[in-house]
Amino acid sequence: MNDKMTTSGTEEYQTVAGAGAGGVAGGGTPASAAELEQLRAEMVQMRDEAKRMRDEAAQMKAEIAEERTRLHDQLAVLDDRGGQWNDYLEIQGLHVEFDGFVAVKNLDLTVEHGDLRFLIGPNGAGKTTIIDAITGLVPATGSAKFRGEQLLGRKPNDIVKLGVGRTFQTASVVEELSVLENLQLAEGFRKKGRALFRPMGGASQNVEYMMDVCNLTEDAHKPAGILPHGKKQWLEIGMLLVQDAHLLLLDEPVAGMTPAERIATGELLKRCSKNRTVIIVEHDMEFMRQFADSVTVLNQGEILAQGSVEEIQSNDEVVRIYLGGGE
Amino acid sequence: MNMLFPQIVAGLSNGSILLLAALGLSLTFGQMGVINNAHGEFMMAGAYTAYVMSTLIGNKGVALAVALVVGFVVSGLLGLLLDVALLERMRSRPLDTLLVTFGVSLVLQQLARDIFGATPVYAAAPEALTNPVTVFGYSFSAGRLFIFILSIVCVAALYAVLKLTPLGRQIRATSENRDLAEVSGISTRTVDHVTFFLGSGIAGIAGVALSLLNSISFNFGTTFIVQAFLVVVAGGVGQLKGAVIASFVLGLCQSAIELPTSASIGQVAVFLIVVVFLQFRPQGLVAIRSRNLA
Amino acid sequence: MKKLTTMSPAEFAATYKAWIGTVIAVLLILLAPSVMSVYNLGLLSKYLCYAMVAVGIGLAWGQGGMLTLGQGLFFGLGAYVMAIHMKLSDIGPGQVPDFMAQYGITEVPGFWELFRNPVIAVIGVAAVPGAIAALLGLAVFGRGVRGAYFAILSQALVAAFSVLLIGQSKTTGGTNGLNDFKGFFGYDLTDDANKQMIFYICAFLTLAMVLIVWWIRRSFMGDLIIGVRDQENRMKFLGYNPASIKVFAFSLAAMFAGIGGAMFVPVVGIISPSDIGVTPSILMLAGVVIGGRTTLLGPVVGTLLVRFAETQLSEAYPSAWTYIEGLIFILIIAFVPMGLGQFKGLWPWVKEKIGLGGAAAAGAAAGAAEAVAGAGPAAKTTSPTTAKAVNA
Repeated sequence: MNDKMTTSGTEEYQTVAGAGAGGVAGGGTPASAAELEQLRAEMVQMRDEAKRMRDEAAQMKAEIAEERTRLHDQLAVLDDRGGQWNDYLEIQGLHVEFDGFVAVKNLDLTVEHGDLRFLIGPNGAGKTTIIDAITGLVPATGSAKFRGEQLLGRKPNDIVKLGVGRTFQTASVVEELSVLENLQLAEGFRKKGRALFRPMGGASQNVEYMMDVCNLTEDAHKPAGILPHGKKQWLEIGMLLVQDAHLLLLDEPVAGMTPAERIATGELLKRCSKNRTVIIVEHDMEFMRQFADSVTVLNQGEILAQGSVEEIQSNDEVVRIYLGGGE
Repeated sequence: MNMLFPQIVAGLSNGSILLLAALGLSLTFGQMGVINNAHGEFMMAGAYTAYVMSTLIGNKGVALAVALVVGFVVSGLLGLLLDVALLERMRSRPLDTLLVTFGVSLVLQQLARDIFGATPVYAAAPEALTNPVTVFGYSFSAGRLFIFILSIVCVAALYAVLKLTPLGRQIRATSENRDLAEVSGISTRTVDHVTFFLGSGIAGIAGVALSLLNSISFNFGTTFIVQAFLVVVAGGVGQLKGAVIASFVLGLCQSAIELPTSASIGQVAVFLIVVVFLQFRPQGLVAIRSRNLA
Repeated sequence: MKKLTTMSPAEFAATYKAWIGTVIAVLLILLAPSVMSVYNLGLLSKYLCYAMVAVGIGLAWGQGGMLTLGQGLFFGLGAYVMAIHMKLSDIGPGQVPDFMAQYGITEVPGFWELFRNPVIAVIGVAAVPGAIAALLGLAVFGRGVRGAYFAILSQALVAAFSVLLIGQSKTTGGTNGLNDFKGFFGYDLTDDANKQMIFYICAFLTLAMVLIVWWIRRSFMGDLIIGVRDQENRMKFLGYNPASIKVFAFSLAAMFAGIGGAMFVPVVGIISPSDIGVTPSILMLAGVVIGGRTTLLGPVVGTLLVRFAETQLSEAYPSAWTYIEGLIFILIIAFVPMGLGQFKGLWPWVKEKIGLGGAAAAGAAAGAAEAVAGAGPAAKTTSPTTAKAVNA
């Protein structure tokens, strides 16, 4: 669209410039060589002037396009809803123990709104356990607060109602139901009483929008079971989005995806993270490098390092653990 | 004290009966996830084997010994046939095996009724087991004592097979990670068949032993099956330990409650105890922790 | 939505499937007494009592994945509540039933007295099983007990119940159960007109239950139940409490079974522990297995078929019938796990071959129990899955 406009604009410019030059050439009579020389110089000057104006116009066009993208993104962010700047996850002294085995050791972690945080670390570092503890799957001591609400000690289904959503390593969707029905199930999690017994009905605006965001519109009426693996993961993410979850906890979302799917997923998550708090447990370092805002490295239930991707990559300790740990 | 001791003995005896009935179930349910509703009928097959042997062989002691072996083989083969013919194709639908094996139990019961008639029969027990034995001034039924010892022997033997033999290792490997076992060169099909043979065979032994205490009829197995299932549920899947503890605890509870009330109240109470117990340990007494959510 | 006048008959049939199915079913029910003898009507009423249980099993097992082997418990609870009420109104106030008199009991126990009031009795036949199911459900589902564990517990529960009934024979009638009833809410049970009325009650109750399940299946709750069956954890982490959804489906199934049991008493005239033990409870699944656990009408059709076959065969060849029962479970579950529902895919093909009118013709074929069974194909069109496909 933009390209086309730029081209047509440039042509117009050339036509105007051409007409000007022609006018000058046609208006004067062929007199002395000096006159001709002067005319030629004028022409060159005018041509340069036209060129400059053309460039200027192109630049302005590019600026407008850029501004439009920025505004569009802002609009999209508004569209995507999400939370407030002061929604953040604050974990203090989180401790998880299984039959004497300490999976997470007195861990402090704060993830701010708008952050796309990656949790990495060798197997058994306690990455998934942290998510399990926050979402009420495993009992834990300490504190984990989101938007000031204590998450620990609540039942999983109550934690969801506080705006916390999670996915699982194996895509968990209701295979027998269609994509649309899966999303509707997710959307209706606050339904009560008689609303539960109304017929399913069509897709709401919310569901339609999120289906579009997650690239699932064309699969809306397919049973979720026949979707390719990548799309199942998207569906699961979409289910969290239609719930308007503000804290997304994703357990290896791109495992088993094709490179193209990874990029699409990364962009989707990047977009989600603009006004949500997103934590991703991941093994794929390339994916992390591409999309992470910040990274927390765990080892044996403790935080080893924390910071931006560059900081983590230049951290000797991390390099040592990774080379030695074989992950 | 005078009241307590016989009651504990009765409880242990009840527990050993439960254990014998549940041991094979625990193996097939725990290792393979198959819920064998025909387990009681495999016990019935063992009991009828005891009956047939006692009519064929004059010496009752020999008859019992032979019946234990033949009963094991007969029920084991029945189980093997069931596994090969039906259950093998249903590995992905464990819940459905419950109904298929119920159909098998109906057919086996009717077969028994057609072959042996509807009236109950008795397997003549050896003299030594019909007389009470006296220990510490208390007299016990020798038959019950025999069953108690037999149940311990069976557990020990099964434990030895599972822990010490290559076969046992293969059985445990298959139940823990079927795919990994398969790629490690174990034929999980064969292991499943052998496991089922073993579990069903133990039912046969249990049937022979319990025919010492009960009359034998086509519904011999139904007396035990429900409680045996409860033992497996309370004990937790996949561990002999759980089944052993659950059997004796439930046996003791039952005899403790039965004494002041009645047998029917005792059975209801055992059920309630299991439901309440599952409130605290939904995975049973001995649970294997798994990271896998699905 | 199109105007009625512009619709072709096929479109009309597709849009109003549920209504058409209901109307056909009502017509068949109303017509049945005029083509059937009172004796056969009584048999059909009995089959319908089992069909009510089957509708519930279809919901709990087919949709909800809860393999309940203990529906006999709820059937029995409903039946005993009804039987106690009928017995009390037969003998009048201040009297005790004969079997109690034999034990020297001079006053009926408290739980008997409670159901003397007809209103409480009518509520009780559904509420008592529903409440017991809810209690059990909260206890076991709340702790994540499911699958085989649940099946085993439900089986143990019904075993304990029948043991209890036999053990407490002074107040329950023991193995004999309760029998020899004279009246049903003041109506003489020997009167043919009243027998016909009882048939109507059974038939319309069954129809109502089918419609309730039909409604649930197309509602949000229907998808929730499937979601909890297939992805219990996912549903939990979507903010639902899977236990309460399961408790709902299980309790409703229990109420259906209780109502079926309650109607069983006036229809058959006896309720005893042998009607509700472990084996009878699993046999209540037979029709569901045949008809297809996940279909709406399969459980009803399958149950009517299997009970009809039972009456025809079990007297002449009692031994053969048990083998057949066993083989139903073995062969269908192992090889055709979805029962008749598995052949649903053939339906479009059949429709093409015989033309759409064939359905009505099949439905019109009347004859004892087959009359209602024959309604299967016609009424099957109310299946929500097909309805959904049309909406989409």
